Amino acid sequence: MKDKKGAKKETKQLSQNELIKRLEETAWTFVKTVVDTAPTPFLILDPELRVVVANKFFYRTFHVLPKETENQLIYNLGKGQWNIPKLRMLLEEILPKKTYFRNFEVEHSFPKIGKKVMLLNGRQIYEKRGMPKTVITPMILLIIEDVTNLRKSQEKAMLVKRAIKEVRVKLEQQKEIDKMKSELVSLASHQLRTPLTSVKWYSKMLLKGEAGELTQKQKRYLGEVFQGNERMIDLVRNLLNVSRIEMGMFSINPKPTDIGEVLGEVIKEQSPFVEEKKHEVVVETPERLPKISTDPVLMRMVFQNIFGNAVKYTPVRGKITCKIDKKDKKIIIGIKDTGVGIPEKQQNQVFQKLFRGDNVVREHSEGTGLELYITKAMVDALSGKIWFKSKEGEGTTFWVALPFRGPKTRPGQKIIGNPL
Amino acid sequence: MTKLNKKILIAEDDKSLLSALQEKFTNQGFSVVTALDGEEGLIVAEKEKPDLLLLDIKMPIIDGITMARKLKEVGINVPIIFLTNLDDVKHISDAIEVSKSDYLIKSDWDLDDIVKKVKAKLGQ
Repeated sequence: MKDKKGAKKETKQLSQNELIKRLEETAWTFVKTVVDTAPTPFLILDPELRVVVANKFFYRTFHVLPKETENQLIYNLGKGQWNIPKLRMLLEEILPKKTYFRNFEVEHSFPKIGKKVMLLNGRQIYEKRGMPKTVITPMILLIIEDVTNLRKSQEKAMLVKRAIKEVRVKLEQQKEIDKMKSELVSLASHQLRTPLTSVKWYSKMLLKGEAGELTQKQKRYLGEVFQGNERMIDLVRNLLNVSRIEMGMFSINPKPTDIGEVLGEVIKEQSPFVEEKKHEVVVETPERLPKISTDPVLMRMVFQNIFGNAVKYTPVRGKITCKIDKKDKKIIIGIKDTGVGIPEKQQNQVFQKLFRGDNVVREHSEGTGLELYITKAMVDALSGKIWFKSKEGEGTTFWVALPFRGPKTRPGQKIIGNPL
Repeated sequence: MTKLNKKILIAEDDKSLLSALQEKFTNQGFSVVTALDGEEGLIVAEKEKPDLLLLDIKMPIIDGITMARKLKEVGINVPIIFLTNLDDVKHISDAIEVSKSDYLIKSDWDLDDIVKKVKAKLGQ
């Protein structure tokens, strides 16, 4: 209460002029506080475009001092970065024409802060400094927004967008090329298969005596023609599969599969060849084998190739042992033969295209050297693993490990293996 | 065997293959009618009312799948076996969709096994 009374006394003693001056100072302090708190650099310019005041943020942004700024003509600040004809025109029009401007962009290499992009907004404000003359001096408020980072991120976004577009276009082109390649392969295989079918059907009819009995010699020669043609059919099928594998265009259709059943079917299918060579086939499977999620068509091909090789490359009266085990959420299938084995120095090439063991080429002219390459690609596609152990003259064991939960469905344009 | 006088239509544009099929099926006691393209196949099928269709897919004018669809539209609903050397998913799924039929790759099949398939399809 005492203080208040004292204050009142003091107020009474002040002259009107002093009161106005005090008010003005209070107002100016208020304005300065607001100006200095604002997080955007700005300048207030007098009608001659000299800097009346700049806020703290202006000094902080441009790394300059009040003494090199205040009372300076805006065009003379720094290295004259604001002395741009277009900006001059805009600034000089504001007061006489009562205009304003928005988002005028200036890109400039500033003395202490480097290259920046600034957006300038200018408009007229009124300032009552100069009281008590009570002359209202119009001033200009120039807000300078640093959009360098924004521009950079916009540019980055643009670059990313452009890169994405380019990749998309390339992918489209690649797809188109793949489609054409795939169509070419399909067409070529169709065209190749037609005459091969003709040779197959007619030579078989001849062999069966449907066009009259043949002599032993004729039968033998024709048998060679038929077998040669069968090899050609295999080759076309394998080449087609290789090209589909390499284009990643074969489909994977996993379904609950009883691996023992698939293996059993393949063994049954190949029983004529097994009997011909008088092999003994032993199958060991645990009593309860879970069904696993895998593609039965692809697995069938895997078994056809591995078991087929075992039959083919094991001398007569051999033994082939097929064993299925489960371990760590995996099914492991082992196919062991008492065959010719793979020469040690060639063992690192087994899964390469066109691999043929030196020891089998001499005796078995047939064989495309593509089966194991295809087999490995199939197993890989089924998220499995394939490996082997072999000793020349003693035999070979191939193992395939398949996860209980196999691969995801992959729609492809092509099927590998017999569709039905 | 001589009593098997079921009629089959073979549509195949390759004369060599058509002739082999025709001979084989005739020898097996079938009554065989033939066509060298899909359009001819349609006409022959409507006229001859075969018990089964053995269709190639890639043929001039109308392909085998379109031919099967058109026959279905006019109410000819006999078993179909597609016999082709095309093996892409598109053709296989189209073929299966149109007739729930068998789809055989020619070069993988012996004539005798094709005959067995046909007989099985006809319930013989």
